[in-house]
Amino acid sequence: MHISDGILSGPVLAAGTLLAAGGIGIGLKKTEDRMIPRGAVFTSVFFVASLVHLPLGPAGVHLVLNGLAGIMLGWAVFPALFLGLLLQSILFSHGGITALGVNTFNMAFPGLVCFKIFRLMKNKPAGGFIAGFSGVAGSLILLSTSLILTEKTFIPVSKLLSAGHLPVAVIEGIITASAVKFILMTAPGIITDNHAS
Amino acid sequence: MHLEIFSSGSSPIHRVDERVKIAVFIPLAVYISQCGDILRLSVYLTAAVLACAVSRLNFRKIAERLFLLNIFLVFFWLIIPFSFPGEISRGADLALRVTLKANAIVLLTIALIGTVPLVKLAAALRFFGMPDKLASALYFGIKYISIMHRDFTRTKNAMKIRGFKFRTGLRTYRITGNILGILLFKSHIYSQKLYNAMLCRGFEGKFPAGAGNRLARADLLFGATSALVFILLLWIKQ
Repeated sequence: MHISDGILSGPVLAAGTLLAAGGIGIGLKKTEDRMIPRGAVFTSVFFVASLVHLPLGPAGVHLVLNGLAGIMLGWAVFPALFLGLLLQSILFSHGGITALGVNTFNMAFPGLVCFKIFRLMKNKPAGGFIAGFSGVAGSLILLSTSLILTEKTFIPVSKLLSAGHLPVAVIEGIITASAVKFILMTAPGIITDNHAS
Repeated sequence: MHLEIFSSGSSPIHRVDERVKIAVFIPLAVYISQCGDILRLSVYLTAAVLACAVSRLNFRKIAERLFLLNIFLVFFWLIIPFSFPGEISRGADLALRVTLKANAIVLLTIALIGTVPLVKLAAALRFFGMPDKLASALYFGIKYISIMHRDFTRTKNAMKIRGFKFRTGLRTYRITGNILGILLFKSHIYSQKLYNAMLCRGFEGKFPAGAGNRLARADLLFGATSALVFILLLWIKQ
């Protein structure tokens, strides 16, 4: 889902970097000192979860989980996903380091939207499904937008990418809903408590 | 979980100060990502390959990385040349440029950034102005990735022993969600303990900044040579 180096144009990279920096800035500002360890440890959970390979028919999918990250972190989803993507890029060469800003924004912004949706739906597991689904779907829309703004001829590529990822969105919806349900049953405070909201 | 597969070594590039490497890497990567000239891109790709060779890194591991990247790029090659009506060569040209850039930057990332241990990298990023909160989160995150990975593997193994198989289907996805729930719950507990432990040690939102090592002559030499080569390549027009 995240884009590698050398594909996007300068203006798109610059715009993504600025937007991501803004989001990270707000996220950090809204994060109190005592919430830093929490954000950091959650970041490591999402990093580990992104390595999980789930079967889907003959192929498999990797989880994105930006919707769930949004629900758990609020605005802090920006710094959290930035760090996750930075580490993925350095440690695994997944996602380009020059596209880090764009990738951060493309993942974190839908995560933030999911957080708001989830809150509007009064923290119900059904909201978890919608958040998980729209986190991925939102990222696909932003990803396609970045590709098409770079080069109109990228339209077929972005169509194919989006179509290929739609099942992932559904799976993420199910996973997010059940994760949220689990947490609400065991320790609801983790979700309803203080966020960088 | 051993993540930093390229960070240990005694090659000349491993020994260069991480701040110098970052200062060389960022402008170079940004420039390559925007460079449109195929000849120049080939030169940069060669330079990146040389840098990896000098770093004496595990060739197989690098090949694996490049393989994954290029699978994605094959996808590009299959579509882009046919997206320009009547001009296959223009599309092929674009795909070639993307391929050169992506490979060059990934190799450079491995050679210059991958050879820095993460903890040192975090300190260097702070040196370049990364906010304290973000840097602290990076330090904690690095530490907890292996812990969360251990916990995840443990849960997965416990399920395997009880006969659970990951399959395509609602059940698998629901259970994966539950595992995530468990991990998030545990991580919440960990983070509270971590915060308390930090408080006991007088943590005030940031780690005391180390002065960092003084740059050695070799570091300056590396920085100056890289800058010189970079400027020469900018200057020579074809």
